[in-house]
Amino acid sequence: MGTSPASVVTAILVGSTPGLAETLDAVRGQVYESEEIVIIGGDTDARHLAGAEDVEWFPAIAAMFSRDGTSASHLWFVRSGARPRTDALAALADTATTLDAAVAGSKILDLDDPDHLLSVGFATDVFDSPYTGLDDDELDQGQYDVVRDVAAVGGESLFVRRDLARGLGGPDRLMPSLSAATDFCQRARLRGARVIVVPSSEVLVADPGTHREPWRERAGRLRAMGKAYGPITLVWTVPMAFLSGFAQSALSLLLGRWTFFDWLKAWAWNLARLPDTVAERRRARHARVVGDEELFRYQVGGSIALKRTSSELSDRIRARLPGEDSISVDIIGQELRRPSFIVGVAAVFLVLVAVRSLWSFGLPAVGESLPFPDSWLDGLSAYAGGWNPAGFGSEEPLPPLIALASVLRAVMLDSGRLAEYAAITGSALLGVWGIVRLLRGWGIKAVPGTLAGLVFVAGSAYQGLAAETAIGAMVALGVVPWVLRLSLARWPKTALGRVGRVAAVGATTGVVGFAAPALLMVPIAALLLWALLNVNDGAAWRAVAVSGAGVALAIPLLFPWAGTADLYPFMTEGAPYWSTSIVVVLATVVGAVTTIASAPRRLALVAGWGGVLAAGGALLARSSDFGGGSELGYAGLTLAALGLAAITGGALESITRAETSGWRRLAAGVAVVSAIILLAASSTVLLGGRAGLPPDRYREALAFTEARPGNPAESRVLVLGGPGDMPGDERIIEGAAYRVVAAPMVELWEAALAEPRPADEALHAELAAIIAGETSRAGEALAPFGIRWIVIMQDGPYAAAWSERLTGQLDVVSLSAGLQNETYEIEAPDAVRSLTVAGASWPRVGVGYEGSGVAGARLTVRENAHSRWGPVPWTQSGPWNEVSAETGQADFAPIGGRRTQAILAVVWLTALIGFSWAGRRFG
Amino acid sequence: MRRIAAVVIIAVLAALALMQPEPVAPQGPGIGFPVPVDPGGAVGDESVWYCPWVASGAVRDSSYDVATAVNVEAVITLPNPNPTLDHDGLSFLLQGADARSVDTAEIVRRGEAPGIVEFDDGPAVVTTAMWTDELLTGDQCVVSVPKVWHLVGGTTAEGFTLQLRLFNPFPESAKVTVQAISEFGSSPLGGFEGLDVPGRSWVTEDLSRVIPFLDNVTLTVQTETGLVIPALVASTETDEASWNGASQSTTWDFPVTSVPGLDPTLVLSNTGNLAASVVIDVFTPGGPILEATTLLVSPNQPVRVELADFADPPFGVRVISNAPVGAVIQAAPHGTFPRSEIEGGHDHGEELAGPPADSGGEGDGAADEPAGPAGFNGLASTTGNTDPATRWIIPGIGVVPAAETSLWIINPTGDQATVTITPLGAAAAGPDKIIVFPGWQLEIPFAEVTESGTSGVIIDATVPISAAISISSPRGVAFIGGIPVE
Repeated sequence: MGTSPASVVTAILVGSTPGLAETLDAVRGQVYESEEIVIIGGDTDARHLAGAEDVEWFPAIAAMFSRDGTSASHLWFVRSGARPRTDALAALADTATTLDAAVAGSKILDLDDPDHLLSVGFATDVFDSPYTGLDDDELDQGQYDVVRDVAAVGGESLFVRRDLARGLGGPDRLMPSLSAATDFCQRARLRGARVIVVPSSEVLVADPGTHREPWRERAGRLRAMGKAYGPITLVWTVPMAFLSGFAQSALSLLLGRWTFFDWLKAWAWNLARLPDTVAERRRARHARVVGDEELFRYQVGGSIALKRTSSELSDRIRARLPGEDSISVDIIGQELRRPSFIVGVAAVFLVLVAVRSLWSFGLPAVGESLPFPDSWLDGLSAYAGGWNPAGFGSEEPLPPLIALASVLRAVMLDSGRLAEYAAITGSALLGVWGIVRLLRGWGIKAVPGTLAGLVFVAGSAYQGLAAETAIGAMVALGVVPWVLRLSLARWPKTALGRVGRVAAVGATTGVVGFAAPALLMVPIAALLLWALLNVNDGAAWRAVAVSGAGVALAIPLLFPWAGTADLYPFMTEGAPYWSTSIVVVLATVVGAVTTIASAPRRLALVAGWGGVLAAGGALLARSSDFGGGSELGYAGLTLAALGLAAITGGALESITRAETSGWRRLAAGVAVVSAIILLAASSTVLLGGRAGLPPDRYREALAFTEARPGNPAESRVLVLGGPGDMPGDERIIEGAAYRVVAAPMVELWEAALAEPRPADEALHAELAAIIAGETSRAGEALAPFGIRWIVIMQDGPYAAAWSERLTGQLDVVSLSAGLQNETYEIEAPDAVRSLTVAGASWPRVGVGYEGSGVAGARLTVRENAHSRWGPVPWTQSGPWNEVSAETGQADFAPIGGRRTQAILAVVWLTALIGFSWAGRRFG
Repeated sequence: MRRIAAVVIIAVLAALALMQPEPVAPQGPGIGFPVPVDPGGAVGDESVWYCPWVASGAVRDSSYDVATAVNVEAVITLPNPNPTLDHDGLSFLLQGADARSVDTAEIVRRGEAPGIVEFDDGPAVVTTAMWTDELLTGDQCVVSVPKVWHLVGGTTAEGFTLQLRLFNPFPESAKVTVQAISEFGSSPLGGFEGLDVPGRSWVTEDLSRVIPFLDNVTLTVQTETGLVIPALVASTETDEASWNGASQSTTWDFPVTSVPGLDPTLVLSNTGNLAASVVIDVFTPGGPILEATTLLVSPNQPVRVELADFADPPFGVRVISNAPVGAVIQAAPHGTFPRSEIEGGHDHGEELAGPPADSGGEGDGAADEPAGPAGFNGLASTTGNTDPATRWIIPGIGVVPAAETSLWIINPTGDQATVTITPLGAAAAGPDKIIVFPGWQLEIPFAEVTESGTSGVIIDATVPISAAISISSPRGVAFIGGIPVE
């Protein structure tokens, strides 16, 4: 070793890791002596230590290079805190000079457990994420002890030819250790340098563990990419890095890690330092002798960070979903062949197939299923005491579903389509998972549980909800089993744990209530029935109490809606009538009865519970004759869905039990056939790819508005047809239906119409005159309502009747050519929602209006008159509002009390989540 | 035990669920959606009138003649044949019961000028008149727009030119199919299936070239999309007659059938499946001839009845049928129209006793004196009234220069009618009362508006009557039906 020609200056790079003195000692103890040892960077302590130890100190690497007078051929960069073994430098110097490598790194071992291997050089992906190829707890048994070319070596020990280091400017001072090393090695390789790892050179460092990666490492990698890659590579790698990082952040949420801000910070940091990066890039690529392809040689495909997160996630899911022992890597192959895993994957696949169209188009616009509001902020603002934009608007509170939709939209970076997809798909997956967990508590294993979950989220009852386009109930349904599961779970021993459990039930019940308030009572009703069937089971009654407490805790979350909405019409409007195939009815009854008769006691109870839920739910869902409204029907369908799932799970589990023998086995076979029929009936949701929702009706019907001259957001569309043809609620006139919606597209917050107000009554009167044939200028009559277009839904007697009334109008032009629906445009001027005295129209933005402000001008806002419209002075003009047009903006001032209630609801939800987390963590 | 209880509960709940009745399906608009009443006449509300056959240019002059019983704002809109250009129009106010004749040239002078007249209140009505140095025509405008129109009385016989005007005043393009029946039965009309009529425009088809040499043609105009207002225009060397499409009815009243020099004919058409048995009552200035003739009108076999065979003109007639038929009065010099044999027609008129010799009306007794010169040489045609009424509004009186206008009234009831005639116009005189005996026809001549100041009348009667006007001059003759107030 001592014959090596290399003369070395050892530079200890002081970072945030403590242990400079120990590193200095270790460097001094090297058998291969350095020509000089210097300390670079660090604070006053580092300088003082350098002075005390008679070692030269430099504030930065550049300062060291600027000092001339050394004849050393190589530099050895060692991070403070690292403890090189005594022969580490010798091995590096010998091997690097022998193999003519410009950069060489050491094998990195755990300081606390020197047998624990941390890295032996590494590859990277195209985003410069390191890939060591090691398991977390892999031991050093010499298995990697071969000198080889690598993409990069750890920054803890970096042996570099001095001229190269000088040319490159050393490791980037702005980057943390790992990304700096990667960056340095990449830049070196661009200049034709060979980068190797020398396993015989061992350095001990503190194991960073699996703690969250510092955001600066992410930022450093982005900077390294920017410095090293050619323009063509950057064109595709930068966007991919952005998306990959976002996806990783999103997936990390499922692991309970919030890395979104890290992702944002990393990009923001790079944006702020873009000029510096550009300068460094120029320097790095100035003298390059190879292209990017030389870098690619040492890279692995795909995104390592994304793969790592996905792998971790799938481990977590597999650990929970099958309900059996956690899976070790060694038995993955065996696990993959297990029915539970296959069924689980098949269930996820089927759910994804069943919602495939939602990915492309979002929710179909049909019935109550309408696109989420086009801005999450506007949605939340409108919910929290703002203007209700349905019809001609009102101050009536929006349903909590709007708040939930807005939050989802915010999480999805304001993408409505993604939010809609996530709402339905997430709910369905949660529902399957929740049923598995719920039934597991009753002794039903993973396979029957998963199949029961499929019946829950795709069965006849769920299809009933979908057919009614009850989006809220469909979303809530996925959370219901979790409320049951949490209520029934083993009662914590500590007080904090119990508080946390009740809070968790309250929070999950609140989510159910947000999506569909009428479903708040579903869990407690189901649990009460369970307790009645297990009348001597204290745990069952405790679950009822916990669920009741959850409801009580959840109700405050529904304010301000719960405090102001008229709940009687909410619960009684509509005429629910669940109509399903007689085959499904027979399968349900036979499945329930045979399982009750033949299954072991616990399973019989589950099937009995399911049977009563299914029958009772069906009764509720067909309760229109005794005054039940649509919301009550949705609650009934949810109960029925639970019931069908329980029957399916019980029937399929029963046949696997040894105690089911003799005639019982025969009966269990019949039950299984019934369960299979229920499963087969569930498969119909696969057909349209819309989770059973009917096909879109209104997107195509209203899309033409965007092709018409002018801004469609300035006007409204009058939709005509028969009962059931309207988006959301409808108003009835002479047996036919109508309503107004916003152009260019009706949104979810317009679904529920308020009680008629002056503008609504005026429109009703005008339509009555049109129907009676009292006017030949319907356009002139409708234009003051901001109605520019008329769309007649569908064919049939209602469409024909409306069409007949419009055909002979002198100022209503047909646009029907090429459109699916009969469509008209009003020729009369000023068919706009807002109008200044000068004749200018302001388009709708959110629930307000924006335009060019004119000093002293007035704006007529064609929304139902309300004194909170502004800017002041506000006056009422007929059924409309007249406000100042000076500021260029007209808005409804939020109702303070309601906004305060909404804020308190958020605080309350945060408290519930906090308590539930604390209870789980510390209880 | 619990298992049995669970099964029983399930059975009970399931049975209850299955027994729940399905909600009542919403009733269609046929029940709740009122069918608009086909006005056919003036109504006490806003109304829109469509006038398909009007022109104003270098050769033709014309007028839109309006009359009202209340304060109204009238707006005349004349669509521009060039769709890229705006329409032309005129709006004006009529205060109280009033009438006015608007020279189309005041609005536009570019030839064809079919138009729309809108009133913001009612009753208010519109007729048109059109004349040149060689012709005179006119008709009432239409206020209701059905999807199926019947146009009776067309002829493409030698000496006649027959045109079909299809006026689409609405923004939406219309697609219409025109079918024809004649004395030879159904006559195919090539190129008239799915005929496009652009919105706010009109087309005029020369039927003489499509179905030449037919004595008696009835057209059915059916709209597939949109709506049109059709009119037939027949021309001879001496005059032109235009009349609108109408629906079919079991009763038709024609207060005027001829003026001196013209022979009256009645054209009947039956588009049903069974033959219609038709009775014709004649109302002369001296009394009625009830059931002057009866005849069978076979399906798809229009017939022309020479009314002069039953009495000496002038007279009015009533047509009563046991099935809906279309009917038109046409008058022309003797021999102008081809004569057809009438199946089943026979005269057995029973003349009612006339009024006492000294019981002439309280009016000017003009019924005794035929108006105008000895004979006119023209062509006139008009549709009738389907229902007699106690109130009529009639514009267009005395509006055509150098022409004689007469108001014709028939009293088809068995009761004596006291009729109050209220002249309308800038300098109209006060109301006048006359008596019309049961079954009598009465003619009241009017001077030109420039002399009398009267350009319209409101007629109030104690029993339902029918009224119409004739405009006669050496240039031609026009019959224009009165418009009942509903």
